[in-house]
Amino acid sequence: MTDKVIGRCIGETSPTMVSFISKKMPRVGEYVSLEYDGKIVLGMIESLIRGSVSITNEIYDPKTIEKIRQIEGDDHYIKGSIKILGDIELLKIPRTPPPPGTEVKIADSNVLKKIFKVEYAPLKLGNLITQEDVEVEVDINKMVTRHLAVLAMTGAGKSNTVAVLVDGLLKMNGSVLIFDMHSEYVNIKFNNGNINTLKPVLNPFYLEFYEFKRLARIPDNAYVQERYLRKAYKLAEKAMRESLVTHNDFLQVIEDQLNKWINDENFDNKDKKSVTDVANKLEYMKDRYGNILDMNASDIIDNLKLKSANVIDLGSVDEYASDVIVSHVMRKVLKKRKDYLRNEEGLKFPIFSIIEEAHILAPNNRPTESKRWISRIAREGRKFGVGLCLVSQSPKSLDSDSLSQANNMIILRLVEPTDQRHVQMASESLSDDLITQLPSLNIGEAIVLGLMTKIPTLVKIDEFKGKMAGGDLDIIGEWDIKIKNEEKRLDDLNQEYKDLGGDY
Amino acid sequence: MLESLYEKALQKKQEIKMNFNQDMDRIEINPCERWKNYPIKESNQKFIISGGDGSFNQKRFLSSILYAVDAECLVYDGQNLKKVENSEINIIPPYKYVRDILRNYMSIMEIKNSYHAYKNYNVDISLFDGSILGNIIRPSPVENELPSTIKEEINNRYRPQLERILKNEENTGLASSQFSNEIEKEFEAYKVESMIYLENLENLLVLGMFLKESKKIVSLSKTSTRTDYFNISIPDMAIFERYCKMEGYSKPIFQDVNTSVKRDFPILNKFFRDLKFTVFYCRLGDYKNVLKIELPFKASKDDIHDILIKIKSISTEGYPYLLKKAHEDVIIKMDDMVNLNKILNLVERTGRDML
Repeated sequence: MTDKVIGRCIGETSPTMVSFISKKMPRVGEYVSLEYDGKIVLGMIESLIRGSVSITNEIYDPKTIEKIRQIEGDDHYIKGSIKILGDIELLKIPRTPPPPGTEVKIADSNVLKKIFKVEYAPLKLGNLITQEDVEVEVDINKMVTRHLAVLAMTGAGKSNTVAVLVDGLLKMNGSVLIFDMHSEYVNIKFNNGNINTLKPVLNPFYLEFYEFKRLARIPDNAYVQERYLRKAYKLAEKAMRESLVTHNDFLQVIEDQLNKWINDENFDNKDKKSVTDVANKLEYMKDRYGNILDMNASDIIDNLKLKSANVIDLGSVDEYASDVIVSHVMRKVLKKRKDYLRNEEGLKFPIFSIIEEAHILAPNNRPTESKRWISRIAREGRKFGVGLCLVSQSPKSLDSDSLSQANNMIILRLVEPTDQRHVQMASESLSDDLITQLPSLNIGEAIVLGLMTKIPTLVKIDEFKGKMAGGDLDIIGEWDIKIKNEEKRLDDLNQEYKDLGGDY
Repeated sequence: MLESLYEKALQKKQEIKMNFNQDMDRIEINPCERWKNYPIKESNQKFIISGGDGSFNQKRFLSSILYAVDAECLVYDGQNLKKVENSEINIIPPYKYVRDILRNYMSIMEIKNSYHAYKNYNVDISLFDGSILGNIIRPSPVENELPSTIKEEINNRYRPQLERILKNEENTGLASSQFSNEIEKEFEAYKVESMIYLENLENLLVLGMFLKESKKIVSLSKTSTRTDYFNISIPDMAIFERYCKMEGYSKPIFQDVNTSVKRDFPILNKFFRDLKFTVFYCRLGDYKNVLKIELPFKASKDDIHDILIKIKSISTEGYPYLLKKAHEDVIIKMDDMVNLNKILNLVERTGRDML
């Protein structure tokens, strides 16, 4: 340990939290050590207050303050709180609180380097904000199996964080499945692996009936419509099984069957209206989701690759269709992993699924199909090697059950108090003091919590070194290019006119 | 409090309000004739100024009294703030003069601190909270209790020793306490009174030493009941506070110690009797509090202006900041006494435990 004593413990202490007073200014998030009862304990400064005994709230004249400052100089005190993280060897919470008066020292970099080093399955996330020479690695196994949430307001560095995570996973030959809501990752170039872009297409043949029904927008309470659609669906399935029709004709067989009932004079007139509704909805489905329905598409799971970022580009798909695609893929992923572990048929490798705009697909206040499967993977994925990463800029709108299943969190800048409270409710290791730090984080700075790191930490996330799309547009630049292009076009036209002898 | 007091207050509200400040409304003098509105400019010149204060408190047990005394003198040279401080904690039997004893301890510490600051930091102006004149002329509480023979003996035997200690002493604590065992044996029948007398001698000795060396000792009082200006029963300070609101000062009056005190001083009688004091009131800003200032010499108008300018330079809200800070630093509250006793762990009934 270094001898950098910054202050001493004051007041009543506990084995998990102490207050201290200092004359030197440490930084929030800085690691400190306390030596007592024959052990050295590591702690993190969670809050700091700077005050003056003389310049109090009772002074109402700036001149008075000016004079006091002139006479007293910068004679301030610094008070803070330290969350005790455990002894430096095993990070076990001590059984005894530090005695008041115990010296508070800045923790030695070498100790921190040891703590943030992951021997097996490391992913380098960045460096400590307060001690920049200390690299922070997280444990990939724990990140994937115990799930992760990346939460931040817009522009705080979410995409960069996800890119760093993905690149780190690819370096370890990982497989990542990204549900790319804004086509941000399609053109990205990772250093350690390839992009495997998957079209957001579904073969209706591979859909479960209820997924098909949902895509056709048959409401849950439309029992008659559901009955006739199911009948037609089963008939089409049977025809395909008997090789009477090909994949391409699957939808057509359903439509033909519906039309047959509509045109059948003996058909129950009472139900004819419902069948017509189903036929109309099927028509609407083809019209609306024609771009994501492909009768020749193979099963999306068969296209997932190892050492690749498998990106499903949902940028051109509306939220409703995204819900259908995401829920379908998530269901399939879980099922195929289960299949593989039971009978070695299915998805052969574990996968880390990253769900962008998770608050849209798994919202807090309404049911969606994706939410159901996200929540299920959050609960069961650990056993079958399906990891989940929920990325959201609006944590308060994100399903709290799913969020609380994310045992790891990377929280970048969050200003909205409701967002902060929501996140805090989902994570027991996020203290009030840490919450207060969230609005003051700079871009790319994050609080990292959970099982993937031995202790909670404030990290400056690495800048992603590959080529990244997305981010804010250079509006001025765009305008400038547009004007220049237009001028060039006019010049070219003018030249062409001259070349043709038009200036005579 | 009995609820009947609320009823009494309501019943007597009109009467009390009518009498309150009634005399002030009826005065037939013009206080402003004695007041000079004077915008005091702050000084740009370099000077060193000190300001000190002291405090004491006690916690009474049935058999003893736990007391704590402290004092601090702050020195400001225009750039840095330094401090001289002193403190004492002990127990004494529950004598009837406890407050006088403690006030005397505090006074000795305050003066010694200022004297020490004056000697070591070349202080140009020494500010005191309270009245130096009052310190000088206030008789010892045991003045009439102690036989003159004993007083004489104490004076003859211990004064030279005290003077020797004070001259060489760097310590700003109580010198008299070194003789307490001796005095207890020698004057057993008057041990308490003898000790108080000796401490009073120490107080006068230190004051005398300081006043002989420096005239720039400025005493400031926030309250005063003196009635030297208008010869009516209302304190001068209250009248100036009511009628003279602007920055400035009152025309000074001069006081001879010789005419104020009938009795002789036990030591340095001629020196103290020859002292002349300048007394005036001032405001260091429009509508700020009136302060009473005493200077231990006959001050000219320029002297007064010079002192006001320097004091204002280190004042906030119309009061010297050094005195304010020293006051805040030294004040010993009852909670502090409780905390100090937690360290000492003195356990005995106070006699008020059942309340």
